[in-house]
Amino acid sequence: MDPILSLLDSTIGARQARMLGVLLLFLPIFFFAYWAVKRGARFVLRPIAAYAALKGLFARSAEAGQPVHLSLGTTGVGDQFTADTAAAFNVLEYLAERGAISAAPLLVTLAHPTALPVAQDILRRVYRQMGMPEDYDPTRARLLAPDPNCAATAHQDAFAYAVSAMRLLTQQKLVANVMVGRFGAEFLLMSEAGAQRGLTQVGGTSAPEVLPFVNATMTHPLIGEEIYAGGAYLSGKPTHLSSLLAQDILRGLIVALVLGAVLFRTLGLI
Amino acid sequence: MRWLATSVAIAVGLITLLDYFFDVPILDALGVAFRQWTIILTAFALLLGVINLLQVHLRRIIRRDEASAGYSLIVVVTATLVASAGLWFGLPSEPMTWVFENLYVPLQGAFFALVAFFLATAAYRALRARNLETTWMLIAALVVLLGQTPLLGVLTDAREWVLNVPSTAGVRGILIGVALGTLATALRLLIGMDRPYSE
Repeated sequence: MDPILSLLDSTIGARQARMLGVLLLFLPIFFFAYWAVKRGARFVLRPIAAYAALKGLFARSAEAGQPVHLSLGTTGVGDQFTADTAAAFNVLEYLAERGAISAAPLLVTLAHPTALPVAQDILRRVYRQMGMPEDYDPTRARLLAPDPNCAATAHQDAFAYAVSAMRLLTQQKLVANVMVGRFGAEFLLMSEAGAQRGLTQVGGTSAPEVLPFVNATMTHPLIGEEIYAGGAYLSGKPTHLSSLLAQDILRGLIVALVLGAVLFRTLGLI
Repeated sequence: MRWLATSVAIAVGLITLLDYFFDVPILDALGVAFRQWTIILTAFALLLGVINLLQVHLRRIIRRDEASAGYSLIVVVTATLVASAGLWFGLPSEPMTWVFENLYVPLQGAFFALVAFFLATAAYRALRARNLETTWMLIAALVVLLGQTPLLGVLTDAREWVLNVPSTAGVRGILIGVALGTLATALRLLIGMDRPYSE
């Protein structure tokens, strides 16, 4: 094992080689799953209460005439947490479609400037596809307050954003608060403000240190990787379904590998 | 134009990925250039963000919204003053450093000190033993909490076990899932199957 590692280290780097290995393993599984889904293969998704709750939100929103608030997290596009922001965009697309036809359109807030043009573009596109381009209001997506160092670091200091979002959550008439994306400790401040007001809260993040806050304050929590499954659960697009299937297959392989390694180690074979 | 946006996004993504994997001078140069462009694009996005911020707050001031026009006025005046000082004196400069050290940082510290109080109310709500799951959470929280106190030294080992075995196992499981989710999302974006940037 050591000679192989030192060879990799001296060529592309051991870390890069491991990552390349996972990528090369994932690609064929993903394309096979995509092919299978396109050919009509159906598989059962385990129920996630948070996504089921999201589907019911706009009936209540239309009934009450009050909007749903969606927070896209504190990171943007182009940093190491772009996947989390992309997961939030999937939820945004779904909620924007439902919000466009209800009396109370979605209210989107964000902390990173790079997420703003994408969020506005998604809203604009949804209104155009619905045949109501004149109803699109660019201020329904709001950059509440950016981190002063947002261009220099991926680690966001979301103090000002959290303050503004807390005020919105306590003052604005809302039917629900949805928070999906990357958050730090500010998640608790925002979600607790919503919980104290008795709002229906749906959301989650991929940061493990924030998950206790998610579980404590959200009516319908999304735990860890569940935030990436939004596209598959909400829109049912073949690409999202197939990537979810590929994730599950690869996860099964990793679990089998870990269990095998534990067994072999226990038996003293490695 | 849709094909152009998709082609540019795929090309930039692939070159950046290849730069991560392989040490080739041309890829290195392109990778560095793309990362620098990201900073420039972020600055332009920030400008759009400021326009968006002003749109929202000026609209409230013009409408004389009773609940929030006063706060919006403060936001607009403060943003104008700080931006003017930054443009006039540049960065880093003494006035801007003063603003950060004497206004922003103390406010930030005071605000995040509130986390402790929010944590107490959230913990009270979360740890009420309503079902088996919350009962287990309550037991684990009590063991970790009491294990920290010197009076109940007998729980120190139990606390260590809770933190090192079930807690670490759970976090690792979540991290593996997050890594796979990130990989799948990145791949969809990279090969143009998911295009939040175009129709």
